Amino acid sequence: MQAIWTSLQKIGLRLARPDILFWVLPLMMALLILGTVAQKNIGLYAAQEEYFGSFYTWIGPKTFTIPIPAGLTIMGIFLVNLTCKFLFRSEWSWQRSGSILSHFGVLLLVFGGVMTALTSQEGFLMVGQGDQSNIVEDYHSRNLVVYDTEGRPFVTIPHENLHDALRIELPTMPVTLTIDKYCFNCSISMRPQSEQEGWHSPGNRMMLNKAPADSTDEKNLTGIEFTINGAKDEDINGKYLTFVGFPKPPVLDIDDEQTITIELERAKRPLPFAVKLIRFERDMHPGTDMASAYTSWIKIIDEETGNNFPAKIEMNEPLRYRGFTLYQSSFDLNGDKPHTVLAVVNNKGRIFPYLASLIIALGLIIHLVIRLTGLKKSTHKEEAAR
Amino acid sequence: MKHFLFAFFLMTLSFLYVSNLVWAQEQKISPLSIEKFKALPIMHEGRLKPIETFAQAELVRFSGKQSFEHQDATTWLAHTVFDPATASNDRIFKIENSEIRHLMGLEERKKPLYAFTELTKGLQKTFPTVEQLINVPKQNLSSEQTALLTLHENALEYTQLLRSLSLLLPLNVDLPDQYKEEINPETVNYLVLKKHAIDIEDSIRNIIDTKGNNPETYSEKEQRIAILGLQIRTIESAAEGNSLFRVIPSPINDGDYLAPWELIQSGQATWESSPVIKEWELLAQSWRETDTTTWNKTTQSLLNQAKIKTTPELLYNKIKPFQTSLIFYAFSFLLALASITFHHKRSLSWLSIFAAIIAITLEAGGVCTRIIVLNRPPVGTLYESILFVGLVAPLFALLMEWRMKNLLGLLSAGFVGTTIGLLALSMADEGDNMKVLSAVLNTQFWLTTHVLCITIGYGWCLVTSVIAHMLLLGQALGRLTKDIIKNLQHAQNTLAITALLFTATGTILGGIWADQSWGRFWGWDPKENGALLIVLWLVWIIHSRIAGQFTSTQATMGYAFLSVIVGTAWIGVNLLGVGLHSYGFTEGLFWGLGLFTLLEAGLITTLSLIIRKKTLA
Repeated sequence: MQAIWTSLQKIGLRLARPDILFWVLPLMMALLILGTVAQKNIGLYAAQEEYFGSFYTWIGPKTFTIPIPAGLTIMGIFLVNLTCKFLFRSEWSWQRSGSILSHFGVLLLVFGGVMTALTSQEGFLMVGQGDQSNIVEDYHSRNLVVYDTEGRPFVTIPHENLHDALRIELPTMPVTLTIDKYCFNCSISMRPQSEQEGWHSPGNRMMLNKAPADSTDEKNLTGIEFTINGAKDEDINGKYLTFVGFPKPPVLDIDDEQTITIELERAKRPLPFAVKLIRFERDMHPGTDMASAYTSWIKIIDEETGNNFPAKIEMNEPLRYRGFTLYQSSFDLNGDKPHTVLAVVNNKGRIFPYLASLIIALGLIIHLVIRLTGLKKSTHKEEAAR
Repeated sequence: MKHFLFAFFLMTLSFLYVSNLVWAQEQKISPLSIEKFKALPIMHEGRLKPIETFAQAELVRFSGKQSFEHQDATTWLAHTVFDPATASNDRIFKIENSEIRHLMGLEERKKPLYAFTELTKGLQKTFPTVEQLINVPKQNLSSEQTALLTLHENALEYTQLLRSLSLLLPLNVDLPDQYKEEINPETVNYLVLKKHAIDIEDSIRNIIDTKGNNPETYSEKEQRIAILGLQIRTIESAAEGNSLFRVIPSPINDGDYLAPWELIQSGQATWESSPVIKEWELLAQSWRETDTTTWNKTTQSLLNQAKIKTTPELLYNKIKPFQTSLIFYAFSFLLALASITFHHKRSLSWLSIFAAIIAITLEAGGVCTRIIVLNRPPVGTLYESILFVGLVAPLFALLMEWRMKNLLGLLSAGFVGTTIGLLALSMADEGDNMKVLSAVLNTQFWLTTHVLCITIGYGWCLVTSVIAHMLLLGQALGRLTKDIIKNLQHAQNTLAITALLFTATGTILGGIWADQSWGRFWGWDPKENGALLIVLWLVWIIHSRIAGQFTSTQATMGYAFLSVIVGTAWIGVNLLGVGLHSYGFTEGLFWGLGLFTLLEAGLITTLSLIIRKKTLA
């Protein structure tokens, strides 16, 4: 047992070496700068995924790229180094208490970050004034969904798996769906008259074109042009299109009993409770078009627990309920009634930054006080020596 | 004591001298006293401010200057709103772009200033182009196109100003005989005519019913009625949406102010607002007639009714604390430098200390006034963060001087105060830079905790960097004793840990704010990454020094380079134009930051090479 502990200590001491930190920190800074500058061209979400959410990434001009360790690798090494330093190299004395506390705080912060990365789920809930909803839509994931007659999804394909010429057999029916054109970000234009044959409305008048991805992921208009084959009714066979947010997705009467709806939509998940929007308010700074406050007056309707209660959500004043946090995120005043957009986050690691910040600050203050007291003593000593 | 009194006396004299320079601008040009008028409140860009601030912002917008032909901005504004017919001949539009001048058909002048009346033809000619440009994204516009758009926007704003009181000003109309008994043709204005508008409309309707739409078939009397009706409608339509000059308290929304036309056209005018309208009418009349008694009485009456006291802001405008403090910081720096050069001459040291204290007091006064006026913590914009760092960084350097007593802290205070003061001057928005905040920033708690914490961290970082520069410079020149070097190294290490305390806590608090507002603690936003960069840099230098990977000189080089790291995190990341904290790309700023980085890298490397050479020798 002693031998195992000694070996463990040896490995730990080696992994806790300050040289590791000496090289990891500049790498971390370089990655931080690269990932930040990259946001200018590829947007925040893509840069986040590529530089901070991967184990490695490629840099350099298109003709000559080299792999470099990305966020997960660097943070992993940092975490191991910090943990080993904390466990095996800490000098457990009052004089070092500030330093130990701040290191523990950083450890807690990084641990919280890992927890968040692994467990947090983000999305948004859009609800009109007077309406209620429990559907949270994802900011980034889109799905191709085929709904049956009762409105139940029976085919769901994530957008990452969609591509040109993808052939999809629809279960329990003789129909196939072939994707002719998939665009992660589509631009819409008029379809020339010469190309309208075989198209069903409104695809006969409009067409989707592949466009470069927008650097803001939410702005990308994902869509498909597709062909339906195999339906007994020849009128059903033909070409269609649909895209995320399309108000009139194709609805096909396959036979007398079966009707399918083909939609491209943001990935959805239900909340265990519903949110009813009582009223949405936007206060403006007088004489400007700048808002000073956004407020959603809502009612939580929880049938599982029987909790029904009114609540107010404002900027910087979210509502926390059953592990979910609802934030005032956006709004839409263009329709016949106001809609509020609430960001919904479920993050099991959210308490860690709060604890970590307190511990780090406390540690640094203790360290500083000890240091300043030491300085005072040494100054007196120097004066006395003179 | 003798040195202290001498220094105190000299600084008092210089303070009075500079104050006099500042206040000397308040010489009256107009025969009417403008003092009370400039204190009247106006609602502009979301907040109530004195008319003086509004006038300065507008004049700077059009002409780039805060005065017009030896008149202060408020006098120019009064002339513009009370006497628009002559004011439109004032040459206040600065058009620097030669292509725009050519496009507008304007003659070349030594000073490219033009009157509104000179622009009207060119504005009409270029209007179709502007209509197309409005729909083009700003980043796709050329500098000429941007200048043309700006000119049209300014011209539109100016016409709103010219017409802001047109409902109260006398009209040059030919009154039909039946109204001459009831209406005095000398003083007739829109409001008077409006009382007869229904009668006039009925008369016109009767004329059209009997004689049709062709005015040539009307009698002379009928033509005069038709023309009067047309004039009323023209005045009304020209004033549609004119909500710039919001000086009338809203009878409905307490605390809000409305423009006179806005009040009338929105149907909000009540018996409560009627006397205020009447007083503005009197004000306009007394301005044109130079009637001092009525002017003074009316401005006083309007001031008595004001819902806020604008005195603090007027004082702020008068003293210009941040510009004035810059002079004192520069004095302090030069005096500290002279004191070091002349072997720590005490009178010079005291003078330098007094200058720094006056500068810090002025800045603190300025920051406090902004807190009172804006009713929020002092930092909400990038510009305000510069002002705040300009206050705290010299204060921290003075604290270091108090501990070290070797004039280097004093020298740092003067240097950092002057450089940040200059940066603030270059970053100041034209016109009014006291801005209201967007909804997400509209929170007292987070502005007080996160924002102040991080900006104080910037302040400590800059002082650390300046002290490190001095250490490098002193060692390279061989002017520092071993004791002073040791003392400075200890000081910079303590400063670095303090900077780390504030930047790390501030960064984490920012994360918590983001968690409260957007639902995520960390989103890799450029500003967040910038703050993290400072923290990582400090952690790297501090740990590498402790673990022995860096020598003392290398650690000092790292601390000195903090200025670049802070500059990049504080201002540089905003230049990317992405993320939640971006303030837009400014080309000058980009090159400035690039040049600063190169200069700093060059300076620090050169100094360290000299030190290395000396050590080896």
